[in-house]
Amino acid sequence: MPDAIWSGRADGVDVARLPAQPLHVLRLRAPTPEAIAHVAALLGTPLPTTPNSVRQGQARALWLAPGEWLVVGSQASGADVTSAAETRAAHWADISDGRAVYEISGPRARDLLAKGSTIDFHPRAFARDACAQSAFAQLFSIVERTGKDSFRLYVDVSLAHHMELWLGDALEEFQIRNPD
Amino acid sequence: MSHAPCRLATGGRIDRKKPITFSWEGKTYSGYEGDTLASALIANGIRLVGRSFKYHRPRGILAAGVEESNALVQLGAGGRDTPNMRATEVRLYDGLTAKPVNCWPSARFDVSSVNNLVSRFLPAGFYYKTFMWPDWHLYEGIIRRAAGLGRVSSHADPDRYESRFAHCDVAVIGAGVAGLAAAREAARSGARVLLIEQDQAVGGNLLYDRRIIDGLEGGFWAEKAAREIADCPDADILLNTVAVGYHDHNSLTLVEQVGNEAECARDPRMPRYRTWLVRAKKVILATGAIERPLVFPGNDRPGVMLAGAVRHYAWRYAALPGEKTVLFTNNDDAYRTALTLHDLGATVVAVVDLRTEAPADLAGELDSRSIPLLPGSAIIQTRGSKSLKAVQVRTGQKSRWISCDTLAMSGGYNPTVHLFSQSGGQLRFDDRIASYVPDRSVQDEISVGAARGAFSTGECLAQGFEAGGASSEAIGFPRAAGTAPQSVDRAESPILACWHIAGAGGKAFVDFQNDVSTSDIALSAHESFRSVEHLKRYTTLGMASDQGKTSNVNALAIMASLTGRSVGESGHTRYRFPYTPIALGTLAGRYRGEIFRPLRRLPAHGWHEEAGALFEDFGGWARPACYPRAGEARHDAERREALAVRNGVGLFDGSPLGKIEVKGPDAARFLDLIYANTMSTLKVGKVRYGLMLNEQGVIIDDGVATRLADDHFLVGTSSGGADRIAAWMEEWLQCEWLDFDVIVAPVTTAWGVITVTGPQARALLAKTGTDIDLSALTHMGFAIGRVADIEARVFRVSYTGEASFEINVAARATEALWRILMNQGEEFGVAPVGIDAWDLLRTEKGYLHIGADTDGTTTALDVGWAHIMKKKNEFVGKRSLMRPQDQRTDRPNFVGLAAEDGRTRLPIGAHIVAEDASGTLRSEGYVTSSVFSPTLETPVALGMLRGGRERLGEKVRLRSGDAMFHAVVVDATFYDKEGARLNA
Repeated sequence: MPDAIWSGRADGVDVARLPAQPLHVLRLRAPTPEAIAHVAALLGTPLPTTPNSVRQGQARALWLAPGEWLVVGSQASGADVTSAAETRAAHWADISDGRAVYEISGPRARDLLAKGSTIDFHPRAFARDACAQSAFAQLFSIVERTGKDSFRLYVDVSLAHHMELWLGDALEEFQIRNPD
Repeated sequence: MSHAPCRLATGGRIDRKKPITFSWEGKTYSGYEGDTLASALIANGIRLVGRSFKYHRPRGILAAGVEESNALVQLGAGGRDTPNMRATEVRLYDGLTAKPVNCWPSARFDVSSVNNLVSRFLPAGFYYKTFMWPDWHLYEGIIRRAAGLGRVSSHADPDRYESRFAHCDVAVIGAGVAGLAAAREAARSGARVLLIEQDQAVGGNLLYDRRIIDGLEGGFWAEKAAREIADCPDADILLNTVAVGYHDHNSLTLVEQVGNEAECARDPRMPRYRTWLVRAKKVILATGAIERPLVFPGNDRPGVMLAGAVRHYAWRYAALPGEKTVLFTNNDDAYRTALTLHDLGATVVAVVDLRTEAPADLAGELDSRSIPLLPGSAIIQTRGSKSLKAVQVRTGQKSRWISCDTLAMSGGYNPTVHLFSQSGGQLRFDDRIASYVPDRSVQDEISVGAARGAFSTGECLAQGFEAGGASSEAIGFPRAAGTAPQSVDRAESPILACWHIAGAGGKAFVDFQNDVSTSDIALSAHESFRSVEHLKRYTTLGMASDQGKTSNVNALAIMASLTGRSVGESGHTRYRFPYTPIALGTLAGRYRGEIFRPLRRLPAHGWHEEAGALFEDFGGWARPACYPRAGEARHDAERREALAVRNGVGLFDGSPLGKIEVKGPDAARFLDLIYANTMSTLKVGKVRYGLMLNEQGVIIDDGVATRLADDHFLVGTSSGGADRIAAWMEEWLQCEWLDFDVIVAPVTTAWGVITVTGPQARALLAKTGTDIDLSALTHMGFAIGRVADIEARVFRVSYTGEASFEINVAARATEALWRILMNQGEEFGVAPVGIDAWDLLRTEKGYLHIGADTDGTTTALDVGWAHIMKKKNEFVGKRSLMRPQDQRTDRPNFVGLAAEDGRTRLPIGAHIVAEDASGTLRSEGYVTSSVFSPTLETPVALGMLRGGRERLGEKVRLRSGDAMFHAVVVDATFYDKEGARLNA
């Protein structure tokens, strides 16, 4: 990834911190299906209601909790979202600056992830467009599967340095070349 | 280098094209790729490998696997010097250096072997008795010097320990006959299979026993099965990996040996060990069985080995433990050793069978090889100082000495039930094999093959095959068509349970590693330590690093017979984690050094670093404590920074301050409940300080709330409270006030916070350029605008007592704005301010620091917030504050303390003391914050004092250690009581 903020690579696995992009947490208080549909239409992105799943539209929406999504890549304004929502309360929190996003990819991506997470990333257990919120290498993280061999991790931006120390260290064993 | 005298010219699963040089006790020897250290020592004719723990008796290799109790070695050198490695588990590598533990100067000549001569004075429980009489300190020095095995390196451990999690459908532990059959069948169904083997090769006893499975030679069948497993896309085989723990929810801990010392020294990225934490839907325990020693006098002499181990070394490694071997057994298995040794060209002197009826077919096999068979006989004594020379055999009333150099003994096999027992499963004593077998499962697992007491190859194959298929089928993987692999086995004759052979005197050892003999068990029984758990602790039986793998069942049976119970009745001790000893590093993994614990960084960390900030961990954040200049002491930096704020302007990075948006039609009503004071009356665009209490009325956080709109607030918390308070609010909303239409949105780290504070703060902001009307932005006001053309939220709040502007900008813009403000502020003498000076400034002003001035008992009333009780609405903690005990006037109150001499700084933690009626000094309170004010040029202290608010002006005494101090109780605000500077 040429414009990555930080990157690392090893045999079969690449790691990159992605450039900043719009990140919002959408919260709708007790939303009706209609309210969800209205906001989804505004965002041009379906809002998944199946727990721990992701839907892709103009932006990407990750289910976090009932009435709560992480929306990646939307330029919508808070005023637009809340007026579209028609719920008893709605909030569009801009956390674009508050998270660091890492892409972990390659045939051994799962092996790297397994060093930091108790989640089972086997495709039968964690398919494409699955997401989860769980500890990763002692950090709170959101993790999603974006492809067969690619995953994204969202961690608090204040912990980015720690995350990079950990990832850099975790990659090392995959960098050992067979002497033969 | 010497030629290995006990290596057979041909055979063995060693790679003779890859010779290896290693060093033992300073001498150089040779071995081959495929050897363990133990097999290489045997091949080189080394019999004496160490000294026993207590009596320092000479000991030789006993076993060939993880159960080894004698061959503990100190491996490697320098930081990689590792104590107590079992030679049977160390794969040989070029350049390996090892020496025995627990002997000095050498295994042959050991000074402490004098213990053996005085052993009658060192009975079981000796150590405990030294506590009682006459005085522990008499023995302490000697015991402490003698205690412990091996030597721990004093260097930092340079090895790399990796760890990872893993998941599978079926975990199969043990890749012997049963495990291979199970794993292959499970893998064929498509299930995710993890096959775990502690050895460097698959096959289990097929590595040293000649068997035919499905028409194939056993070892070949094992390799073929392993290949078929590995070819399944979702199946993995882990070699050199010990399953050390079986915990709740079918979770397993595995420790994999990855690189050896030399490989790790060559490449620091090479892991020495990898710890696996595995969750399995099904677990199949194919852990095999461990051979029992026979218990008779002199059974610990070097050269006395387990019969299976002798066969193992001879067949698998082509290493003969001795030239003249006597077999001693109570079961059929040892005959296989006799036949194997003979067929490899070694001399078998005799087979001594405790049973009066030896099995006819095996007797015939011996006869055809002219090996004498002595049925109904026992070995009652052995001879040889550092190596076995002869054994005394008793047949009926007659006894005679037989010359030999090796005694291969077999007391039967104990199923390896350790993991089953760890899983919570219950065991049952099975007379058929005279040992414990798995009985009742607690978790989703099944034991198969020898681990379940089924020792024949055919049974192992059938049980493994069935368990593998059934386990995967149960979780949704239909089994593939096929039948169990076949093997033709001879019917074994029954074992003769034999726990102890009374002999011609001398110690008969049960636990070789901890030197526990039959007489120690008898003493334990005699002194009423008859419960198996008492026996274990009193004699230390089974408490050595081998955890009694060879000794437990023998000991339990001996105790049972001494106390007139059956073995099943006397019971067994619990098998505990870890199954084999593990290096401490495997528990730490990579979580050491810099990544031991996450430390947060400020958005302007780069600038602080350039400015030479001294970083410290404040609540999980790396924050500048101060910015010392070259040669400047920390205290001087603190003073300089504080004066810069008082006289000019300072910049403080307050980014960790918690920021929680609270929105919804019920937001104001919600905050009235969450805060002790009222927030619903706050006007839009205004800021109010508030205290948050828990249900006990105790202060849990403070900060300022800002009203952004009628239904929209920004709640500011302390830095440490950011996550805690957001969770606290969610808990009330989700568990108590479900009807509230409120959304809580934490946004702390999306924003950076730069606090510009001091008499020149406004001038600096004006010069920097802002579209905000600064004259209209008064204390506790709020404005949104641009500062240096960066979008900002600006709050007039102060923690220093000076006019302050708290500028919130997008986190990524923080460093840029900081640089601009530093440049623009040069003419005002701007200084960056660290936490040290920040704390000094707030102490001068008497501002509360929650958690420093308050503790888990401090209520809102204690800090002078009685006015909140007049508030009409409810709030969290109100009811508690109405209790008479909470309203007592003699509770500790928050006060200021001025040193009476105007010079002496009061120590933090010093107690305010006064004599009670009896003349005893009692504490009336204590100092919580204390600084020397460079502005007031006097010491300033804050503290909690009983009834303090009513005691202003009173002179008090304080005590810290032996020193006494004198102070006057004053109002907490030392600086700018009128607030003129704040409102400037």
